[in-house]
Amino acid sequence: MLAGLWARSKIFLGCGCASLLWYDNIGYVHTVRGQSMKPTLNPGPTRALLRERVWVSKLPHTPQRGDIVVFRSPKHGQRLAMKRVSGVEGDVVIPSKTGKTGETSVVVKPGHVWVEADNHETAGRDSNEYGQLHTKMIVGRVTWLVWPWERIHDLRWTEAPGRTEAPGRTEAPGRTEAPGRTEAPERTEQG
Amino acid sequence: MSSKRILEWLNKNRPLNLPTIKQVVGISLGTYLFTSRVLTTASVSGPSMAPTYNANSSTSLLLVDLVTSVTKVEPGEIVLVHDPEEADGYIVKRVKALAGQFVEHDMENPGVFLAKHSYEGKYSVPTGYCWLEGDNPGNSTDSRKFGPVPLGLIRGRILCKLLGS
Repeated sequence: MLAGLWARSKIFLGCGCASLLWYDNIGYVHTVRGQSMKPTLNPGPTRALLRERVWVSKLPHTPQRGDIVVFRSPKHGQRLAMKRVSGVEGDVVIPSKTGKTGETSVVVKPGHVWVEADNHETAGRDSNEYGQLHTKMIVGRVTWLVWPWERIHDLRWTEAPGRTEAPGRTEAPGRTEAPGRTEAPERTEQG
Repeated sequence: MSSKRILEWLNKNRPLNLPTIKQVVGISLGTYLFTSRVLTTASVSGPSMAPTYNANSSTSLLLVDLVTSVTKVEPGEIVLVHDPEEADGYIVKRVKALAGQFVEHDMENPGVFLAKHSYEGKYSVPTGYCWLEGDNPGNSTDSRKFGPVPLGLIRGRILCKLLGS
């Protein structure tokens, strides 16, 4: 009897393991909550089936400026947050609000990124509040909006709205002059 | 030869006790999942956790529990944490205080962080963070230098030492 049980549960175990492997290494569907990424991503109606959902890719990728990333929020333990990377290692960032440090400009440390909300009106639980984000807190990168069906589109090379003169802009040091950088970091193609 | 025939040949001709391809793949993936989500080992070197781990000239092998949620970490436990000062790499330190708890420091040697952020000799750990210190305070780069660490950087708890002194 035990042998039959094992044979049957093998399928479930196999599917379970395969799903976990996929979830850990390929990606998953994430539901948008919160207003901080409007208008790019909208939490929308309260009916769960209609909420916007995005594909979060967990394929290996170095965060680049303009990426929307999902990460463990520093201030809120295990909760996941979704913001846009506006500064990477070496960039000089001018925070839109002086926040906790009161500094007017911040140099992003190695292994960290500066994230900001697209929605300028929200109080913005982003780097303006908690400073630079360690890249190991990042869980994945938002690549596509996958729901609702009619709005499926690629989110990868989008820009935060109205960013050219807004405070909180990032000045990338000229690529050739930045220490240790001789060429633009490669943009890795991820699905 | 097609790949299907190769697989058939391999399965038919394996010596009696060796596993099939399916079993090998299954066991490898299962092991990978286990070591990335349940238990894994970490090898540590460096003097910062002496005398608990005497890893200055040799390395110690530690068993890491990855399952326990980061929110259940208690002060006094030793954890494996992503190095907050580097892009990659881990550090092993003891949790001294959690969010809302106070860290006190001696006035003579507060360390870079506490010198700037403590008030009347005490510092309150902010929500979502923890305070880490090595057991060998004289020779340890820890929260006294880089400040509190977000809980999200904790990879797992150290359960026990497997090898080393």
